[in-house]
Amino acid sequence: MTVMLWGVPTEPPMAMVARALTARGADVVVVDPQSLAGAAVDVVLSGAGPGRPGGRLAGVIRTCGRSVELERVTAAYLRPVEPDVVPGLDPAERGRARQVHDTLLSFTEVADAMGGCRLANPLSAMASNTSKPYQAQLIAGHGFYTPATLVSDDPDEVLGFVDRHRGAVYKSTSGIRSVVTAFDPARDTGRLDRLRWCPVQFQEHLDGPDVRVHVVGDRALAVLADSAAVDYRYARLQVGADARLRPYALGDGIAERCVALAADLGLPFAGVDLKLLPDGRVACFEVNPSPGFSWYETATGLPIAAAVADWLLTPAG
Amino acid sequence: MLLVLCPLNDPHALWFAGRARAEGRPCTVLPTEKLSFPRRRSHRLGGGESQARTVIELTDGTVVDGARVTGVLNRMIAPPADAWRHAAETERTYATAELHAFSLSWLSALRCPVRNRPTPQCLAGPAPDTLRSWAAAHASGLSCAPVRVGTADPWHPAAAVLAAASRASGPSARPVHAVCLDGTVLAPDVPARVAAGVAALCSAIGADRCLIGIDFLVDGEDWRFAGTSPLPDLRAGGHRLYRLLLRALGQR
Repeated sequence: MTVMLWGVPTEPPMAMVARALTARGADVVVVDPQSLAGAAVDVVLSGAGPGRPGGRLAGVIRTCGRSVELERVTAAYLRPVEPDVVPGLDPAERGRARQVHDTLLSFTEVADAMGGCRLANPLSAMASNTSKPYQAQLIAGHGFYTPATLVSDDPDEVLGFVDRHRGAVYKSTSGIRSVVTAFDPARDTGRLDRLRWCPVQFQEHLDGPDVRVHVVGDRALAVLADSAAVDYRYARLQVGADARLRPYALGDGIAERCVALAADLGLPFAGVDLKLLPDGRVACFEVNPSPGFSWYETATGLPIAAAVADWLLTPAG
Repeated sequence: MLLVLCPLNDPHALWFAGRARAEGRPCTVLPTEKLSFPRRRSHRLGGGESQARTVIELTDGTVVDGARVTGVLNRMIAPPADAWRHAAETERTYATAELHAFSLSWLSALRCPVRNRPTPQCLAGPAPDTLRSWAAAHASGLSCAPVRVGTADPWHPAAAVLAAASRASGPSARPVHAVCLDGTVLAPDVPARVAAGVAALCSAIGADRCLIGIDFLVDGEDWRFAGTSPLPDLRAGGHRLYRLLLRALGQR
């Protein structure tokens, strides 16, 4: 029984999960994107023939001096890095790293269905976050309020939206990280003509504390962020002081809804971004499929890495 | 309005649109290249509204209002990002991701019949990883040659299933591209057990309300699975496919 950790080993979330697994006596194989060019992977699917249920997944991964039979891999925590952005690789190494990356990716896509492997998370499931408004449509089906949203390249329409909602914020439409920023008429109106080239996402500005809910399997570990910033992750930049984080007890079935939402998206491990509105409604902005939880755990002591490790080590049902 | 969304060089989509127009049906072809240079794009959702609203105006005066579209044949494989073709790589990558996000949400929110609705992995519809499609095909009872993919192999993982089928088939094997609409195979002479396997496969990969192509290498009685595509050869389905697709798209 081996757990594969695919990601930068020094990155805090990966390091914390590795420590938690090691503390539980788990055998861990680390697949470091920096070493991918020197790795080798073979995947074999067999069991061909109509009427034969199942099928067999076999193969091996060799990396950093270790050789692990893929049949022994019972779980994987995935935070891979595209070879194109791994620093320090020459073109030939980048090509080899790409080949290993793509083969490993294919392995993870079939490992749960054929190998009974627990994945946090399947990379294909993470793709719902490539479009925030697409994901918002799925979120709304779980009873959360989703903010009024306009994705537009029309400056006049944007100004009308800002006016109607007495202010707005803007951010990326895709999953590419951006700083959520309040629309400032004095600063931004003159720049709106640039929208012509690519529509931008505007949302009504909502008041209330932010809550990040880390869903791990059927558990929900919530953190409340106290900050006056529009984007509390960048509070120091926006209001000159870091957000204060503290554990938060979710009420009124919110935890269950977060767990159901993450499960519906195929994400055993997810970061659900909520806002508690003054009128009692709960808004949900998005579900992060690869939550960088280390900041929240370090600040609050919530055992998120331990929960991830426990989930990875639970036998597949 | 029946909308056909495709690249300019998609003969299959244009074949379908041509037949619809020849019958006097209002059918608008919206090339993805034109979508790259629109006059206006607007997509609204949330805020307690149960439906999203999308309006796209093109420079030729065409207005695509999601509320007025009655059916969509979607064969958009890449986001409409031609306007960014010559931009710096980082800007082009960002804009392409943003336009993918816009397109995915717009097409997913349409309330009319759509073949195919996009998936986060592919705007043109279900396009599972090739090994995942192999596993689904195998579990569905289709004949699947053992497949191997590795860093020592000359083929990319995406080509592994076809390579495996080729190796396992005899020299007389012939390729068959089976067009499937909503789980039903429209290719001629498909054995019943294969048709049943295809229906199960479509369900397993989320394509039971989709138009997809499934490739086989046929060697005697053996129909060996060789892959799937969200962009099937529509002309191979002929008149029968045309009629069934019209019906699936809500057209009388």
